Amino acid sequence: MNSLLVYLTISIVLFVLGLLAMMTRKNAVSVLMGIELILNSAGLNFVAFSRFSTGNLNGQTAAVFVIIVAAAEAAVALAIFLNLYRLKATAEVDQADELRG
Amino acid sequence: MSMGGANVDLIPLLPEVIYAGGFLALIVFGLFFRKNRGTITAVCGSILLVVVAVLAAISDMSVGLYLFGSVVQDGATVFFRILFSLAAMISAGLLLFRFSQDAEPFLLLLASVMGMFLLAGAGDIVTLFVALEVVSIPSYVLAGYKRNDVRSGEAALKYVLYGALSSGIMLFGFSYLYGLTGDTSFVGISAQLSARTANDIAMLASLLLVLIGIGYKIAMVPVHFWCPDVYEGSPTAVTAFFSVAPKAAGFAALYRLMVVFLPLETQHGVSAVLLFTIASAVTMTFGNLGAIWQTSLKRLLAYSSIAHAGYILMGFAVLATDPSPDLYRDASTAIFFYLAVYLFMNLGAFFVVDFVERRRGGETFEYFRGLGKTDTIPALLLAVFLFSLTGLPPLAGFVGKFLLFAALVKGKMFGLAIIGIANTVISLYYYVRVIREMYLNDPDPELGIRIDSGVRMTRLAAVLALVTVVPTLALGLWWGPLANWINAQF
Repeated sequence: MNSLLVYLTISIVLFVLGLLAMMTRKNAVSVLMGIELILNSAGLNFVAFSRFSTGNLNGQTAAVFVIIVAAAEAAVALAIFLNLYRLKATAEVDQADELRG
Repeated sequence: MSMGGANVDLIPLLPEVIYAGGFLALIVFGLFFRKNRGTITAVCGSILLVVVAVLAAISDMSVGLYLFGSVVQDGATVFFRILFSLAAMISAGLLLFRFSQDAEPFLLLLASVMGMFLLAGAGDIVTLFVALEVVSIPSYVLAGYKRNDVRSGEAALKYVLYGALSSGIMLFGFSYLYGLTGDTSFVGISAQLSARTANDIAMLASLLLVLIGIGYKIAMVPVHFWCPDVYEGSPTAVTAFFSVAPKAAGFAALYRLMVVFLPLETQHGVSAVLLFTIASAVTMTFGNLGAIWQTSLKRLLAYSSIAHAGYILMGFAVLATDPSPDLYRDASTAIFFYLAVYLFMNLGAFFVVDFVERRRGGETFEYFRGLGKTDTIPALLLAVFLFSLTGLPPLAGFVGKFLLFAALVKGKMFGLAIIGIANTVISLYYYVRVIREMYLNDPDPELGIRIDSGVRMTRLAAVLALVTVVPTLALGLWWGPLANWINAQF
């Protein structure tokens, strides 16, 4: 149980770091890295619970899917950043301010 | 994944399997053509969607859990398969006006719909998460499809960043639910959560995280902020798709998840009813108040879609009371009927906005001035759709609202019903403002609107207008058959 707590602590630290990156970083790629941290903190939780607490493999399966989805999402996000960079010559998210209301 | 329903039969997934195979074949098939690749892809895709809808309708309804509980087959699955097929076909028609040469927007749309079909039958965490991402990832690309338009690129940027963040937050909530219960299927999680006696904050926190993630997909306040920007920046036909299909997919996910929220009742005094009542009231009020100040039709319809998510959440507030089977049936019918009606009237409204944007060059209020005199039929259509969105009889929107309010009154939730009616009155103001611009104001000569006379009511436009306006009118007068059919699905 003690080692489960260690993993849970690490994952919550990762989650908070990801949220902070999302809120404070201006570069779109850095924001994306923050999001990856959040997804991985959830993946870590799944694996840790599966290994130490629940006694079934469902969590491990979930973690594999999380990794796949995170990769797909990153690929699409980077393509979108590249396109915006081509148009505006910047990847800062606060420069994206044409739409507001 | 739990061994609860150890049925490994693939039959209930047959429509999805056929659809996936056809979709992959379509990607290759499109490469053989040089011209009109968009038209060809749209026609073949529509055939595929019709096949799925027909298969769903004639399937012999073997209700139950399949593939180790990860896939649910019931009446709601059938309903959502048909709904998503319809939404995708009409949206593909709208996309044809601008992208008849490119196959890609249609393929992305079809890929997104694949996720929706899976989502309709999601029975556990992994299926739900993967299906939601299959819905979202092609949508991010569609939002930015006008590659040389900065606004479109910006819409895609905001959509992908906030979308990925919300999925991450939802997944984090799911991971704790798995840790607390040791199960990934919704039914299993629900049973385990009900069995917990201790007041634990972890359960409340993880359910709130899940609700935030789902709330993002349906543009629920306070996670709605992306919605107006993304709707305004995306190509109009894509916005039409976003406002109906991924939103209905979000509601499908929430419908499957309701069972997980019910055990909150015993914890902390923060019951699921309270949670959904507040979410519904705040969402519709905020959406309607936000819409009043808009001068762009796309933004106005974005706020209106937030308000409509609030109305539909009223039905979920009734479901959250853990009602009697009778009331459960009524509330579910009301939700599903509203989703169906909303599909026709909202796609119809976006069809006219897109038409005006192509013909007159813009979609802010100035471009709609005097539309009633120059373009009689589109103006009349838009008036019908907007009155239906308000919920005035004898249009379909009225029946949709009536069923929702009837379910609320039956569940004795009078407070929420009164807030809902007050909101309907507010919404009348801004919908009528558009109609006033069209009929009572003359076009501004200084603006110098150039009418592109090449854009007319073509055969495709007439078909799309009929497909959206006929149900909007007919369901207002003869709602019985559809309502009874939906009711019989439970």
